[in-house]
Amino acid sequence: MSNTSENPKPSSSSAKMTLKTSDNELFEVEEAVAMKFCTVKQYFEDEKDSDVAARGSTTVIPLPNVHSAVLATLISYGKKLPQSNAVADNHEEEETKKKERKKYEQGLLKNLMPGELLDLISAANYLDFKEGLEFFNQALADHIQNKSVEYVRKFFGIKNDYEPHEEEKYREEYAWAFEGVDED
Amino acid sequence: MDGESSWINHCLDETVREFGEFDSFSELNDEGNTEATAVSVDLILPDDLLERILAYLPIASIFRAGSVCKRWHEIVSSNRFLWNFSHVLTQKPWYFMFTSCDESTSYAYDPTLRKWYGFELPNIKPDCFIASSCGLVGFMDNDSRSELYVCNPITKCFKKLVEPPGLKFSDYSALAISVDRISHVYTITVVKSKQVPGNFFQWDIAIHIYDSETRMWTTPLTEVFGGWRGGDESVICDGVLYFLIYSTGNGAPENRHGLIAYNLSSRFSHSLLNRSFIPVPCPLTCGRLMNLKGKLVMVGGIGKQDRADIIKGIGIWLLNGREWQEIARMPHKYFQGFGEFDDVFASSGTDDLIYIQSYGAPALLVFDMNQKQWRWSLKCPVTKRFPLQLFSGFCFEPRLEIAP
Repeated sequence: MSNTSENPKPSSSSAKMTLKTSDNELFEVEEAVAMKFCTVKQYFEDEKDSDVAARGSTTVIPLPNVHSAVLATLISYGKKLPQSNAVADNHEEEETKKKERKKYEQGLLKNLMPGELLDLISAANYLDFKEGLEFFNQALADHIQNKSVEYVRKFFGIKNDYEPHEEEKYREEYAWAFEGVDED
Repeated sequence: MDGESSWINHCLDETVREFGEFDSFSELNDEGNTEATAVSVDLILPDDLLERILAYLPIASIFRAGSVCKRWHEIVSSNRFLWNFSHVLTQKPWYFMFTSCDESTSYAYDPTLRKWYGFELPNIKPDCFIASSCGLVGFMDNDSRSELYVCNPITKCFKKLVEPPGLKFSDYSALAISVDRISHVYTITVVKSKQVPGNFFQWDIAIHIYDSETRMWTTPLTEVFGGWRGGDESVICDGVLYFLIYSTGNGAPENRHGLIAYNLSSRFSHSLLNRSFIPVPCPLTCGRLMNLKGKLVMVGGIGKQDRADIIKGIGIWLLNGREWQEIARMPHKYFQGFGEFDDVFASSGTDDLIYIQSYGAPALLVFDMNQKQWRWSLKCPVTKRFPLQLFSGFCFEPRLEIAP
């Protein structure tokens, strides 16, 4: 995953903002993308109100809860979303873009370690990045959907606090739900 | 309430996947690396976030999630989770298959996880009238045709309803149910047909409606149909009751079937046959009605022009207003297994899926309305034991939060 910020093609209307991660990395991001992180948007609007100088480029927005590796992925995902200020595409272009996005999403998930999903979800939640949160929530659910209970406990670092007989009773009652899970 | 009977059997699982269908993420990336993440992130994920993740899970996984730890159990049993869960996604419907053999277990097919579960629904017999909507299944016995129950097959919650009015012994009955997803209020309709004594041509038709809020039956319409009778196919879509009618005369093949559309809130009380008749799109040998996302869909056997009781194909139509739009025809390679004669398949569907099952075999065909794709389900664990063994079934949406 790239840690460096990317340089988008200069365009007349794209202001940029700088985001600073917990490990002191700086990311220069187009405003349109950064605004998808509602926490950033709120911060930016608050700053604007309190009359800080020039838009975006001189303001560095601190994100003390987000590591650079995680932010890079979220920014990358945010860029691939349909931009709200983009010119409306015709149906064909829309379909092509949809397909590209699907392909990108699959590639993204393939290269992720399952554990990284949790970081991405936490960060997306902190940033109030709705589309990212939905996507990674679904990805995590898909990942665990056919896993055993033991796997899920290990994955989330959860201690089983059931008594053996309690657990036994539950498993008997819903036996059908416990068979045929993926091997750990 | 008879909810205590043990519905659950040892499940047979099939983890073999057909046709290389992959959940690419979990298949390819699982090289035991998760030990590295044995950090106590249970603290990091707040309840509301965990709820949102779990809400994406299919039903079986939700049950497993409840056994992870007590906190998770609380979360998935909470009213808030069930409320949100009911709004996040509709679940793909399961198909419950009856086998007419007493010794064998019945099974339910889960298309999301592609698994058959050993699943018992002890009070529902194969010859019952069955209707389902949004997680609830209504069923009526075939003997007296007046014992009516509503249940949630997943939570095993049952309720017996007060008897429908009207003739106890009608010749034909059609059952339908419609559940409001938000309020959980449901409507049940029974369309009864009885031949007027001594008259081959005329039939007494009555529509009875049950409202779960008032817990009462009303009979807004009784009418005598000339030349037509009701049968056992009906469904409610978006407040309109549709039921198939059958010609009692010897009309042309394309006129042997017809459809009636009765708006449940209109409550006009006469001339149903004249006002609300919709002809069928082609000579049908049999039709099955279903509600797919509020639209009426019919799966029908297409009859040969000269021999209308012989099926030459199976088609799927959607009703737009009063016009039929053909959605798909079963490709020949699938149709081959279905046999030739008239009434050979069961079919039901909801949401995006249509299930079609030949009476003669436990094979289950699935049509996805969204992707316009046909595929066989995973092979059912049941095998045919004797030549005349019949299989049938129905589909229902598995839901946790709804109770009769």
